[in-house]
Amino acid sequence: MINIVSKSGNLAPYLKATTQTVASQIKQLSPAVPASLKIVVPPVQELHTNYSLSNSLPSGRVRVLSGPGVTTQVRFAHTDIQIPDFSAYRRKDVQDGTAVSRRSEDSRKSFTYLVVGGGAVVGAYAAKTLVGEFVSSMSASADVLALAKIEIKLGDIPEGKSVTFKWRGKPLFIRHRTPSEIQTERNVDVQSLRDPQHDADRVQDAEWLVIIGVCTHLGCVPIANAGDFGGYYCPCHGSHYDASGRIRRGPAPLNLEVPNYEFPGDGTLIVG
Amino acid sequence: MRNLQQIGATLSCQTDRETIAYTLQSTSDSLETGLKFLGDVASKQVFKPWEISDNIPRLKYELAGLSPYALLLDLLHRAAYRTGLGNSLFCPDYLVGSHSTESLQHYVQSRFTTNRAAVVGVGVDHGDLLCFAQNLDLESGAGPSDSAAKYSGGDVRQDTADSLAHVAVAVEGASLKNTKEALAFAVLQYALGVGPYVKWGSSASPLTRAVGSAVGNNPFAVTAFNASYTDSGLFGFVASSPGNVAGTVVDAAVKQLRSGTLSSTDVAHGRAQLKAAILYNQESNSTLAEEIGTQAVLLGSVLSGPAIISAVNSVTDAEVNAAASKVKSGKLSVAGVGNLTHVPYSDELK
Repeated sequence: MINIVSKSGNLAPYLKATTQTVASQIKQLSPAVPASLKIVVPPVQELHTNYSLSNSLPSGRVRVLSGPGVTTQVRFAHTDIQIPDFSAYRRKDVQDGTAVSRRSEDSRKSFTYLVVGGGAVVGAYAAKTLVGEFVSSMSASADVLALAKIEIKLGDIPEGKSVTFKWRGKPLFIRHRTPSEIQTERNVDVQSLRDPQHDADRVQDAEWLVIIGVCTHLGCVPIANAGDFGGYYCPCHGSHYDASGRIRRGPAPLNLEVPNYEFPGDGTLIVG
Repeated sequence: MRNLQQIGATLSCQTDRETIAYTLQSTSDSLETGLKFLGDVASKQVFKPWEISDNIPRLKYELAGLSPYALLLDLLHRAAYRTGLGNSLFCPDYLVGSHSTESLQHYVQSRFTTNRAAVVGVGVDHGDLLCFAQNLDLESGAGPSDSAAKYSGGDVRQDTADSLAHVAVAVEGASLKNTKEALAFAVLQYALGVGPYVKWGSSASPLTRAVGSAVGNNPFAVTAFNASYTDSGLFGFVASSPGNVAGTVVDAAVKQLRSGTLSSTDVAHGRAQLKAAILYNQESNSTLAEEIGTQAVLLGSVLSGPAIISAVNSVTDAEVNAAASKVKSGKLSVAGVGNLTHVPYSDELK
């Protein structure tokens, strides 16, 4: 037996599998296997169902695809890859797959731009209205605006009388002037006044004087039908106003203020 | 590469066992710039040493990440043809890093000749394409003549630590020399059953039914496989299943493969599905360009979509059954990857 094994000559070491851990003088230790660099690849997906197994099977020629900017692929000519049908999204001009898209390009583009442009204009207008509504909600509310105007029936005021109303928190004097008062005021020399203003500039209808009854000196309310000039007299510091509300004597610098008013024509006066 | 990205183009290279295709995809505005790069890549290659060595880590990474199916088909071709068509598509581990500038340039200069090349454009003006093709700097001539592929048959296996077993079994099929026979084999492939057509369901094809009844509750997948090359072809099936039932799966599938005839409804299904597959392939510009290029280079002429469809329609049941009987009597090649303890060898399969 031993003779047969030793007579196999050069093959003897390969008929047995042995490892040597301690080197001896006669036999050398085989060199250690160099540790190779383990390449880490993404883990393979485990397939457990018929469908997923079927999807990975090759059915024809194999091609390998690679490129500088392309990941390497192995293509198996799968038949399950379906190209979706986009006909629901196509416009009428390019519904046919063989239609040249450049020919209908202008009409399609102009339609789109028209629709978008029109929509943008409408949208801008809507936005402006919306923002305007919100911003104007911060302005004066209706009840405040309602108090800003006053409507006065002129028939109730007799001639020569000055009536006081509260308007915007201030006294409003309405004086039904007599013709003699009007004449007097018209004849006054404008240059001699402290605050030169002609009567015609201060009234719209000469019969009605509408002024705010706040003394321009320090803000007291003048008394009607008092003073030396047939108009108003401020008792606080002795300012005399005439029947046109102009300062004649006293410390006040300016004439009494004339507000905005109008005669709508039906015997009323609207101030404000 | 940066220039290509700046013009928004993709340049890729596709290799299969008989062709190499360089494809450029770009917008029509940047086509001229892209064509310059395509011409350089396809004809004026200079394989600089640092370019080769820079790509070795990437090559190693990609080889490490190959799917088992890629390996399986390589082993199938090795079992069937041994050399020639049997050579692997992927670089073997012991040859990584051993390519030199001279060897690559010699290969390119001897084989990239005008007689063996086709220039294909999809969505490109014909005049521009002609101009580009005429300016390509390729060697003229026929190139080296290759020996004809010889089918031998046999077994090649690789046991790995996978719970699944992937097995491919094939016999010699139709070559592209006889286009009618090649079409008949393609119809036979779809008649036997290719891929799932209903999501989350298995198909009712003959192969799936035969294997499904044998395998019971275990998951499995089987599809008919058909590859036609210039001198030869392979026809068979590819199956995946857990290792413990792989034996039953392969036995049942081989029995169905070797049954010899198919009913006319199955053949009609095969024709319809083959037509659909051809037309789907032609819908995308990139696959259409590959299709035209392969036909031009291997067959010398290109059939348009309608022409192929009428050719498929003219395949008769008799031709398909003749193909099936050729399959019945052919010598088997068996390749396996994964857990192969129960997978039979080719001489154990009838």
